[in-house]
Amino acid sequence: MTPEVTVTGFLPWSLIWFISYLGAFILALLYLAGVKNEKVYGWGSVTTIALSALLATAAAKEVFSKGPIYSLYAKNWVPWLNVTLGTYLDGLGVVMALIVSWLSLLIAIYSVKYMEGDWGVQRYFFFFTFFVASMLLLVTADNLILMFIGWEGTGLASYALIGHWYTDEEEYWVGVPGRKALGQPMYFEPSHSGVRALMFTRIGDIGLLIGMAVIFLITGTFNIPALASSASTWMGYLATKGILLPLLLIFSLGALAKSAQFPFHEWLVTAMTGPTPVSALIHAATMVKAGVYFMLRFVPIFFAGAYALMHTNPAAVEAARQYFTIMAGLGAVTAFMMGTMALVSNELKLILAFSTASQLGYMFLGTAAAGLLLEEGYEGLATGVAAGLSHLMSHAVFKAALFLIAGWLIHVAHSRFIDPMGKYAKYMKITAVSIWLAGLSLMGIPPLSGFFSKESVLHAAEEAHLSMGYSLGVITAALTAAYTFRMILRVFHLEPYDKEKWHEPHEAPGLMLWPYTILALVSLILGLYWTGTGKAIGEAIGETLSVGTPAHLVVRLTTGVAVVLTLALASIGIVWALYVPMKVDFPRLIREKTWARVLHDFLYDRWYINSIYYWIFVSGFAGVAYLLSIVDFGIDAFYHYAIPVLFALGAAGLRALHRGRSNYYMMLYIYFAATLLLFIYLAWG
Amino acid sequence: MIMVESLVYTILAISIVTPIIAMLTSRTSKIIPGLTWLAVLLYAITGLYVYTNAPIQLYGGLVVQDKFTAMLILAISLAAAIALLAAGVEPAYWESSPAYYSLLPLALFGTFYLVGAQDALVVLSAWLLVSVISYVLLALPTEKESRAAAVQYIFIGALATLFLGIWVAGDYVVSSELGRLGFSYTSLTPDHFSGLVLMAFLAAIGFKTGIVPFHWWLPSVYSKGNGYMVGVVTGPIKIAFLGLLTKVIIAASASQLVSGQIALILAALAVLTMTYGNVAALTTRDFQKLLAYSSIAQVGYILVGLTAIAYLTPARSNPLLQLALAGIAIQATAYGVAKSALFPVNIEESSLDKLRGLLSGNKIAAASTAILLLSLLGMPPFLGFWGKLYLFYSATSYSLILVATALINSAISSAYYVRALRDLVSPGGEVKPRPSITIALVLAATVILILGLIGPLYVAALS
Repeated sequence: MTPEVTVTGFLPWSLIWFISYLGAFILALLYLAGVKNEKVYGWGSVTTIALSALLATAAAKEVFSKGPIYSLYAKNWVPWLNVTLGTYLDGLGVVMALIVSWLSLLIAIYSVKYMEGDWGVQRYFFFFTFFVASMLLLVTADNLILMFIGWEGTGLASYALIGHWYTDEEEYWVGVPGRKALGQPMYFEPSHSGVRALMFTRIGDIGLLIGMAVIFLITGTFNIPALASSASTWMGYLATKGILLPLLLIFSLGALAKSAQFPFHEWLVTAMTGPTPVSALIHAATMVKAGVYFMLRFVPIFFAGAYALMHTNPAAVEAARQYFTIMAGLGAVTAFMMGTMALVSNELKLILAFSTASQLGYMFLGTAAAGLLLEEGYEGLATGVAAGLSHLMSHAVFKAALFLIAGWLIHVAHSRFIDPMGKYAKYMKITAVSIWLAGLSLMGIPPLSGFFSKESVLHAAEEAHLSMGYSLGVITAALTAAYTFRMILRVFHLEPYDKEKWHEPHEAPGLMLWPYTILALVSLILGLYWTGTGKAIGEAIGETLSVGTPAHLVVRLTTGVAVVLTLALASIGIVWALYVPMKVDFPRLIREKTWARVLHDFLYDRWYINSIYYWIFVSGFAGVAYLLSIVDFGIDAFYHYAIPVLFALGAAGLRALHRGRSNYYMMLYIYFAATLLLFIYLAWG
Repeated sequence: MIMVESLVYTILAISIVTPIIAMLTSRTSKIIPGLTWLAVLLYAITGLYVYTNAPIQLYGGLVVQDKFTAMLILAISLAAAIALLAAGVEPAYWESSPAYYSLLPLALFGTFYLVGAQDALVVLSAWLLVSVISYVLLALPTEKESRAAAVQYIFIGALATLFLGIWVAGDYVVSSELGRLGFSYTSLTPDHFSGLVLMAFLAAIGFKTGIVPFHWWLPSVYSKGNGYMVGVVTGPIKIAFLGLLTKVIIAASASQLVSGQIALILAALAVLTMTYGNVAALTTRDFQKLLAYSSIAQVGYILVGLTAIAYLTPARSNPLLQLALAGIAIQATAYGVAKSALFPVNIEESSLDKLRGLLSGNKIAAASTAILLLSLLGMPPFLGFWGKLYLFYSATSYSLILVATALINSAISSAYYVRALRDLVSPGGEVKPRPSITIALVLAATVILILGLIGPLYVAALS
């Protein structure tokens, strides 16, 4: 079901990612040449990303009118690994390139003002541009090796930008300084968070590498279209060997880690130590979507493989079903778990980070559910994948807006916590409208885009008969509405908890205000014209590898939709009632009521998962290291004391045998000649 | 054949003529060392001639020179040249002059028969000739300690020669015939008498080459003897005895009935010899003693290769046999060349503490010494590396435990070689070796380096 492809050379479509790499390279050269002017870096980055965005737009026009483009410029890039070098722009790739490039452009413009005067601004824009290039490469690569290069490039940039303020001043931390859970610290410095992000995602990447290697060994290619066309062959082979399910799961570990899905979600929370535009771009709008992109790219391929084997290889079909179910389950669990954490958090960026991981869970749920719709054929697949992609797009837009707003709020409040924030609506009208638009979209309230995309995901889960996943999705929808409403209510409308630290806010400067206002409006427009938006996404999916059938993303008012909407509105109502008419003093409640404190601490300390990880892996390995250090001490003592003493004694002892007297030597000579004779007789047997 | 005989007899003639010329001219006449140099050159030519025309049979087959012995003859020439270079003209001013210049060609003459002998009586004759020359050489210098060392060497050497006599007699009894060619071991059986014969040979050759437990004299004599003379005894002369040892082991192991047992005996002696030499050398601060114990250890490595030879000889086609032979030829060369140059260093000072500063005193000498020590340690790309590699690799056919022991021993030896190296290159007193010793060190290091670079060609050269 792969659509017809137009093959071109390197130009112009590969410039989509290449031009941003070139931009990053030039910024690095300028830095080495001693250019310090931060405007050069800021606007240089904006310019290159703008060029990438324009090219991506042109490519989208081409793909929508003529079908997928394969910009193949080296058939034998690495001959001994049979690696090609090319840019593959199908419906999915081009929509991803559009989202990445345009969001990056708006956030880069915001960053020019946000990072003004920062001591590492040159480094910031270098990694920012490098990230955009890597992300664009990732979503347009024609083969797994090239995709992996982009994948790792985004990881490197993420690490560098999370730890941007690596001098670790307290204002850049995440978590309450001094707070501990189960004896483990729950506050994280930028440098620590950078390493955490790298470690968590590397675990997944090892899985991705192993998967790549195994698939290459079987198929002899890394080329994604080639893997798609031979999916039934290699999946069938792996199924007969009984390793299809483990391989698919291992192959997807990288996606789970990159998109912060349970059990790899912890890194994303603490990644919030980076500058807020980085959180908006990398840890909300784009990089964390790489895992979802992976699913959107490969679920159709796995589906096509299983679909072709439906009547010949039941083991392969069963393994594929189990894989889709597990992935959907992980997505649903992550969505629910992170939603509960967001309910009690009082750090603005943390609320949004929990929300991001939660919404990514929705995307996994929807996309994986698409794979389960085997009986419905490619139409079912297309609808499910389109649901995942639509939520990816709408979330990228409204979450980027929310993060950019958060960046300004943290700046005016001089705090990352929401406790000293309150009544901001009075002072920041445009920002208030923007956060309401973006927030309502996150809450899933019509006519914002978030409503339609979330309902599409839940519909896919329902169609796939994932009752547990669907139920968790519905509950999470209510949780999402609750924590988002609580956040906006407390920051923009209620009196601050910590009045002494309240600062009078004012609107953001134009360069920061307009990017998030535009994004909020886009969120509204996409929703208002969902018929058009849904159609475009459906058509894009129709031009996607291994799908080839347009999707129909139409949300109808069913009982299910009504229930979800009612639950969301009800949870908003409950939060309003608790904070406004009832004026519940939550800090006091937590202090005085044990049940409230236990529940709060459990959620606030992230289900103690971080502490458990630290006990098992950090303290556990520290314990092993301690034990090994004892062994090491023994080895050291053995090598540096016992052996030298032994050898010194041995050496002196052997030399002492040489007394220098000839008669003594002659005696020894004869004695040992006799001994040798005895030995020879023994050897003779 | 005539060519070889002519060359060897010319060397003998030089030895005889030298004292006469000294009487006619002067003991310090430059003609005398010149004649000795001529003898060394002729010996090298002999080696080359033998190599290109091998095998060469002399005296109706009593002496046979093949490519392996040709390599040893060349190695002996090199070691002799280095020892002669190191001594320079100094022995001309000793009371015993010109004995050194006369005896060195005579020793070369003897080694020719020692490495090529195919008959026990020829061995005995050559053995006596070379042994007596060794004793006399050690007694030549005027130092009291050196002469005491010579006397000790003579005493114990006499005992070893007695054992050689037992072997010669036994060899004839085993063969039950007189006048046949070659050693009688092809039909050797594992009985008590042949055990006694084998023991007698190993005890005798063990004395000459420093195999534990027949090595007792060696540390005393090597550490007290004059450095120039020890250089000759441990260099060219020992190479010849190692050649004899190899030939007899090949002959003895030809019988499948005993080859396995002989390999076992050699392996046990190898482990003992390596370990004893290396451990004893570990903590000594005396450079000459260090070299003496390391000489024992180096022979231990050669015994590892001989073990492989004993084990593999019945299956002649095995390529590892060729590798082991190449290993012995290389190791004997690397050892002999290095020791002929290093022992004379002790003429200046034998304490490692007082040798500190050699680098600042004479950079070239220090660098050359370093190369020689690293070669003895078995560091690539020097010649010693290939020797150890081939010896140990060939022994994998017999026992991995033996190879592991050899490798561990090699690792242990690094402790004293590297320490000596550190001392030699550390800042300290301004030690300046005599020019003749420096030149000998440089030549030896150059040879070790160049031969090291072509080390892999040795195996092909032997086939």
